[in-house]
Amino acid sequence: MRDGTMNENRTDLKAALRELAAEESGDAGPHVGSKRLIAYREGALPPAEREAIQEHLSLCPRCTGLLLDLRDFEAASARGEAGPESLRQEAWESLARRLPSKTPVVRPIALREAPQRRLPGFPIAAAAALLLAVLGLAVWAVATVQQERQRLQEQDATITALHGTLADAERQLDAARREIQDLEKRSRDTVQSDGRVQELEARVAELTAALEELRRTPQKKQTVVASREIEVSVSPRFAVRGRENPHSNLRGGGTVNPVRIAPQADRFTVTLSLDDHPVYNEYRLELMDQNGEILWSAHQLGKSLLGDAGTRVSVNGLDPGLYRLRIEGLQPERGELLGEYILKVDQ
Amino acid sequence: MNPRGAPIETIFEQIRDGTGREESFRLLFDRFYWPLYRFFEHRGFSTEECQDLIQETFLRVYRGIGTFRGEARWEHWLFRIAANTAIKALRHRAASKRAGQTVSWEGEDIAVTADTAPAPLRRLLGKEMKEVLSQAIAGLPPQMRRCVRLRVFQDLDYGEIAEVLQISPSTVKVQLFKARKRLQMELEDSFVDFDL
Repeated sequence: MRDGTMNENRTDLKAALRELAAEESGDAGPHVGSKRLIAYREGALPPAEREAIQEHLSLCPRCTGLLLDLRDFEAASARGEAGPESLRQEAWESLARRLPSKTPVVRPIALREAPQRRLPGFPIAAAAALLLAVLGLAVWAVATVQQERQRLQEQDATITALHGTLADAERQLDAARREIQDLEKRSRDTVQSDGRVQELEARVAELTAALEELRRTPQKKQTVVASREIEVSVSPRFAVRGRENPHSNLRGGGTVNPVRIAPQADRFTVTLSLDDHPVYNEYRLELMDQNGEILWSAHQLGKSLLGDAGTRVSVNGLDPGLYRLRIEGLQPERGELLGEYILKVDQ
Repeated sequence: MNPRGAPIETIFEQIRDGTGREESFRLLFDRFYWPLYRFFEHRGFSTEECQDLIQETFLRVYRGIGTFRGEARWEHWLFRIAANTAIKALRHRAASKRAGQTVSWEGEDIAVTADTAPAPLRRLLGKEMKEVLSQAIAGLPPQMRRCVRLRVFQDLDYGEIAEVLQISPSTVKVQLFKARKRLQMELEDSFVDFDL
């Protein structure tokens, strides 16, 4: 494209595109048709079909022209333009002559031409008799004609009444159709609403179940994880983690290291690091002697600035020897051992 | 009320129930005569042909009015009949020409202009350039590509493009501006004028 040969023929883009259009217009596919064009203009088509029609229109002058003609036709109809009277009148007169007549033309029987009869050349007597017979027939014919007229009039009246009834029936039928359409539309709306309600109900149920699961899941995790992850430190000299050590002689976690406390200290502080795992309603600390007798216990731990819970344990009054410090997390139904430490009180 | 302004539904009722059928039909005719005339005229038919086609359209309406149930807009129903009548007339004309018969529809081949391809152009493009240009157009986003085609291929103005694509004229303007910039970047060495 950028070689010298092409640059020799440099022209304007619009002209080039027009030349290209002559070849691409064959790719437009089948025409859209007035029904679909109307639906497109009404915005009644699904997005995919709408896209396809737009693509076709961009390549097809005929369908584009028809769409624009539809627009013009709607606008002219809305404006009520009448056009030149002479042309319109001329067209109407021609049309009126071509309109089929709805009501059949019924010719009255009296106007029908009766076939002429030739009187035979009989003798007078016979002629008289025949005349009488003819007169009788004529009287009968007149009576018959009258009866026939009356019958036709009755039939006309019946037909007129039937027309009226038919028109009423058609009106009622139209009204019923409109009602059915309304009902169908409402029904569709209702079905859609019901569907939506069901969908929402299902969603609510799903969310409720998920919520319940979420409520349950953290408890399990808390129980499992917290017993392993809660950090326990014993100050002032040591900080140990509550992770279970398989070589420990302590149960439930904690390290085996004895907690050394300065000889001059008369108390130490136990702190549970709870900022990541506030999982137990309450914590219990117990100080026991070697026989398992509880010498001291605490339930309500104070909160530190860092969100930890802790308390101070006094060693005043304790005789030299070994003691156990147990730390438990308490739920309403049960408790769990978080750590156990050995305290050795020296002389 | 001015009879010409009577609601269409009322006119239909009168036509259907037979009371003043012809008078009511005349109202319908008077109201839509000129829009139909303009339609056929725009399709390329002569005045005489327009008059005939309008009559043909209304004859079909008269015969089929019992089948119209009001599910679609009356104007659209009439438009579809008119469009089919126009197509039928064009086929008739084409068939007559092929058979070498006297063509009943007068005038030049103007009605077919809407169907025919653009007039032959002086050949500007080589094969390679056609491919490049075709790819450049195909590479535009769909709406932008359609705007370009309608503008250049069909010579529509912004308002008409907006009408066809059901977007605003200002959107059309922006799309064409962006298309020009993109094509200019891709094809800058090949064209001297990028106006669309």
